[in-house]
Amino acid sequence: MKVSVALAGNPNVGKSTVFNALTGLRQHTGNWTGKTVGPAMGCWALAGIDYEAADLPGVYSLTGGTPEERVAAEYLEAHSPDVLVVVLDATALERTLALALELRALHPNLVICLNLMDEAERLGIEPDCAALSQALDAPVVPTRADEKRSYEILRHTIALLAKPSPACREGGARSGGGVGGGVGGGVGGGAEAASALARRVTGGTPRPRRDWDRLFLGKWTAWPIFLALLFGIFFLTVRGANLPSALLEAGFDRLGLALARLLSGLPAWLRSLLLEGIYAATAKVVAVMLPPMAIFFPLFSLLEDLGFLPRAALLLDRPFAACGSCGRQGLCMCMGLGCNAVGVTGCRIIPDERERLAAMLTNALVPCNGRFPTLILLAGLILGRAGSGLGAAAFLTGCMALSGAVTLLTTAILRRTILRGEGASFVLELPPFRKPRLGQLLVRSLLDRTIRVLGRAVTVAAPAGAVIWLLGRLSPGGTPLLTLLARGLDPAAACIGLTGTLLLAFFLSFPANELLIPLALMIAGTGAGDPAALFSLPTALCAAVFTLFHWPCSTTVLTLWHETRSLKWTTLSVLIPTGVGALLCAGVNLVL
Amino acid sequence: MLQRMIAGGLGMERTLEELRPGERGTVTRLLLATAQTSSLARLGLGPGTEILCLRRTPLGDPTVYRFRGTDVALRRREAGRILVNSEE
Repeated sequence: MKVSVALAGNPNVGKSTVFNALTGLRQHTGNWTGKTVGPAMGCWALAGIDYEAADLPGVYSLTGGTPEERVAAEYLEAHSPDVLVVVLDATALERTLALALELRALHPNLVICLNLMDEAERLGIEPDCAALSQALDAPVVPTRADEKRSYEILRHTIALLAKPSPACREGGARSGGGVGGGVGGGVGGGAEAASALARRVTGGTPRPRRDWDRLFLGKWTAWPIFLALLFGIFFLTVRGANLPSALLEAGFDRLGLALARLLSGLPAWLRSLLLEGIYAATAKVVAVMLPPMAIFFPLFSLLEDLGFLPRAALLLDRPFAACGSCGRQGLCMCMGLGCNAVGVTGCRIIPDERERLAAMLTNALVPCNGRFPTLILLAGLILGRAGSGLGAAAFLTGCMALSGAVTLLTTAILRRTILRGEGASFVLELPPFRKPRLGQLLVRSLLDRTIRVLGRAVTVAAPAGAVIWLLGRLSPGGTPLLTLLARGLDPAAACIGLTGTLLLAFFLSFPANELLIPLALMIAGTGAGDPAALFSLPTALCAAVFTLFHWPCSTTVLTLWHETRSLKWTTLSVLIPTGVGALLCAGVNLVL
Repeated sequence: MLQRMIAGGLGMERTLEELRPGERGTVTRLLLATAQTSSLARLGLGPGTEILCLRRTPLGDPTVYRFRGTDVALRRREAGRILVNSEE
């Protein structure tokens, strides 16, 4: 028999730290049908009994109407777990106790996990666990990240409470009995009751935290710090990815040779399709996408764990508010700079549905780092000798500024047309800055983000590789189909200042934007020739604009479909950036 | 406007928006839609809550407030509809 456990708690109380400490890495994403956020599931065994725990989304209460609250409330109702662990922040009892009081009234088997005790100690806060336990009529287990044993005690306490016999329960870590006086109260009184209780059980003489916000939200320091961090992440991502990408490509080449020997029994055409079509495309996509993602996401998660992201959202709020959105969209755009698919998923942090949709539909207007190499190459072609070093950096900065302006404008138009509606109120909690847990951070960013995105990329790269292979091989009347298609696209491409070859390359690089230039060279038939031969100055400019604004890559489209489950919104997410790009390119073409 | 003129028990009733960084007040009323009121109540902001205006962000909006040991940012639009009593 399995004992079911659920973890509940406010956001920013270190609930996932507790969850990870309890379950180790034995976790899997729950198939619980929460549309926006599903709880993560994990398990452990103790004394021959299996425990399965659900990590409920962070909530302040169960009665409100936010998606997280609905998921948490529905989960508790549908699964009625044997033991409910409420995670509290020992440094902010006043804020976190309200949920504990609410859950106390709901569930008979409560364990209070008083987390972040190490931080409380540093701040001079001394919670009275015995008094808290008595007031809540539940065992209280203080936990601290720097002491593994404290989580072991939590496991044992859960085990004691899970046993059906009440005699065993009395022997638990519970240090007192009886329902605490004056606890509970109505919905409105929850906060007051929590405050009163927090005052009663908090001892010590608290020292104030160091005021980092003076720096991160300071009038003269906030923007420079934000821009420097953003720039630093990109510099590390673009620079750091080159070497591992080259190594991966070399490794895949060797693996390809081994595969060729293995498949030598197959007919020549099938071997070519498998190796030069499907394998080559998949290997290329993995080699160019994996290293930047494996660098970008851990760095971004680091800022997330530090507590910097809410500050960035706050900093960005004003211009977005003017466009009917909020600063959180700015954060999703920053994530989009790493990968648009992740940016789209990141839009879950926007509570208002219309604002969220507007942010998702416009995310691809921000260039992901898969488009950076193309932009850097074009910078060189457009600026000539000035296009290296500082010139290229200035060109990229200009591209970002243009992309930001177009995103804001498009969002404003969307919010006044198809996504019209009263703006949601902007309430943003600023958690204290925390030391990140590096191990967890790596696992989470690599497993959750990188692998999932890569999985989606590969599912599209393989069939796309087959199609490109086929187009390159079939040559009715002696001319390869690729050349015929490129010629057929010439008139349409001319309207937006491109050539048929380039437009076809844009179409075929649907699986990964990184493939644009290699594909264009392949279509032009110059193989590993000089990319400069593909562009004149006007086509280079138009190509730069079209690189910034065209349809999202297949992984992003797939993600949009997963997130919206709506053909209409997915289609619009393709049409909007494409329309913007075509219009701008046509404009550039007219002027030049 | 009339509501603002009504003097509170201890001091002047003002809107939260009018608090300057460093000033404190006690929330008296919220003139917001139900959904907004309840989303603030979840964070522990309601009538009777003591609140401190912490700092404005570099662009002047939103503003960071501290109540019940937590820092929360609100825009002028919402802060202008929250009434507080404050000793001036």
